[in-house]
Amino acid sequence: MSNVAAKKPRTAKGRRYIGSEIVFNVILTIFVLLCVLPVIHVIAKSISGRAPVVAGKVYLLPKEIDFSAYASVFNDPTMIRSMWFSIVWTAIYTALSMVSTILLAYPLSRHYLPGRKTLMIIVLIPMYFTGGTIANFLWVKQMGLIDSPWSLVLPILTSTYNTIILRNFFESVPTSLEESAKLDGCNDFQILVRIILPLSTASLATIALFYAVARWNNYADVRYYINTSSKFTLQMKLYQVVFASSSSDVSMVEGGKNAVLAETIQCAAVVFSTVPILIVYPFLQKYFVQGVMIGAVKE
Amino acid sequence: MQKDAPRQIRYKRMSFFKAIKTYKWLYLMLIIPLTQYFLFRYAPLSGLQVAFKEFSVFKGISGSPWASPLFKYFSEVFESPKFWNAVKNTVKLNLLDLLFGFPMPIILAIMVYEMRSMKVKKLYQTLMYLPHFLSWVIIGSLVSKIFGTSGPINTMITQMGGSSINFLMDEGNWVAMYVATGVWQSAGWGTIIYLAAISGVNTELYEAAEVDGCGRLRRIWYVTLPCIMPTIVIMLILRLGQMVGIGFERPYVMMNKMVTDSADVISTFVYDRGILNRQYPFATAVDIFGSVVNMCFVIGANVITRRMGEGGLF
Repeated sequence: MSNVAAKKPRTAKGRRYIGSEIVFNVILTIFVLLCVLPVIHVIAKSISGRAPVVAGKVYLLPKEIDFSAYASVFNDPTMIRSMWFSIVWTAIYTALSMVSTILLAYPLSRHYLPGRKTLMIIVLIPMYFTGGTIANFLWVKQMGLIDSPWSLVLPILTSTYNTIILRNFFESVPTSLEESAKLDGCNDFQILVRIILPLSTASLATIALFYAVARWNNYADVRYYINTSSKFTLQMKLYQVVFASSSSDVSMVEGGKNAVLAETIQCAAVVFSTVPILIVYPFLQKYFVQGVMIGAVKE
Repeated sequence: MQKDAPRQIRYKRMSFFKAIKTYKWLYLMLIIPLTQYFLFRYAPLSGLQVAFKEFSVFKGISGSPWASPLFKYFSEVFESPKFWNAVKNTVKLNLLDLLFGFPMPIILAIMVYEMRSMKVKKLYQTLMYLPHFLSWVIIGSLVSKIFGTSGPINTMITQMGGSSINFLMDEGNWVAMYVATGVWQSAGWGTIIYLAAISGVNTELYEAAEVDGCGRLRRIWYVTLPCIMPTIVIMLILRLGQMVGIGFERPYVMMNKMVTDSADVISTFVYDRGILNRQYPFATAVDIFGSVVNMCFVIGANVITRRMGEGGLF
């Protein structure tokens, strides 16, 4: 890698800085390996046979390839149920949040709207001052949402951060489009739906991904609000499998008594929960970086 | 915001009713999001009074009598050694995070920017962003699989003749693991903002530096770093503002019974007292303490940066 990079001279004078080039590449390579190797290790363990895992022989390559751990995971109805529950509620949360965020970001982006500053303050205050865990918990409880999947959706429906990103984008859409549509008799809602939204598909995709990943990965609120195991998200289920599998109260997969089989199964469960993220990761990465950039422009 | 200021004045004179009529669709749109904001961001603030009440679930928040003395639960909190331990741990872990976690993205961003081949750059970036997308539960699982007593690291140590190290059950090691995991998770992702700042640097400055005989390292030191200093300062303010706030998931997922003395932070303390043990007034008092101190930090940090002449956040 370093050779390829070092061939092209950067400057007019043709300096190459070979020393720093090598050092930079070595450091970056080490860091990048550290980022990836743990995941590879767990994947290797999950598809290895029991014996090499017990003996601690599995590092980065699987030994005695054996997919029985995955069979156990897929045969565990609670695991599949949690996966399904996570998918459904991530979708619901993302869809509703998008609606709410668009409806908030658009008026905020109209600089001529009277009361916009007040509105902005209303939106910003909760970013700096929140009720905290218990006040929110008591409120959710008072609303009768404890142990309801809606407790994972409604309290975090609109993210102020995402709203500001989207508002910044809406502001950058040329106003001439809006003005001509107004002359044609469109009202503001029609302008939003027919003109602004089709122009912002990339930003909308970014924000939707922000929401989906946040909901998918969130664990704390499930811990706070959900008591019934049928409403556990995949993260919660994974926590139980990995961190509580030694205690007897967890309904582990068949053969869970065997500590070693449990180790490969745990790894399979980790991979199982990571795969959805890894599948969308290439898209995520591109859009997320864009999203962060959009957000950064105005700050 | 400032750019819009002159326009704002132009539109200012409009009566309330006329504004409602002219922009009714825009105001109608706000119904859904504002309902959400009031219902789930402002209304829960009413729960803060629980800290001043003899709260009973049956009587509800408004029905419960005020505590006497009013600050009873606050004094209980301030007399609790476990509370001070949690505060100490929070600040300690945050300071260590700041010390090790803050410079990393800057260093990585500078190095990535110096890569000439776009492909190499992209490859590094793609791989280093990965940990950011993994949930804390997954990261915690990875840590326990890799650094556990039967994990590969300990296997290697014992094979090389060393004795196995208890990375997760020993308090000192746990703190190191906590900090390292945080750096691992966020350093790569943190580069984005600095990469954006670096690409905004005027390239003429680089050329000028070259003409003046600067090597690469000097150019980084004398041109790149000063140019991205405003971004660094702003990021630092944001971090300082979070010195007392701490997420729940990371410490909770990594914690185990052996290290509670070092690992119990404000968020886990509140969870344990409030949600598990239902001491709502006590836990709410802790929450309020956290929020107030947090705000002081944000404001304090802002004042300091103003004095430094970097222009504060607000």
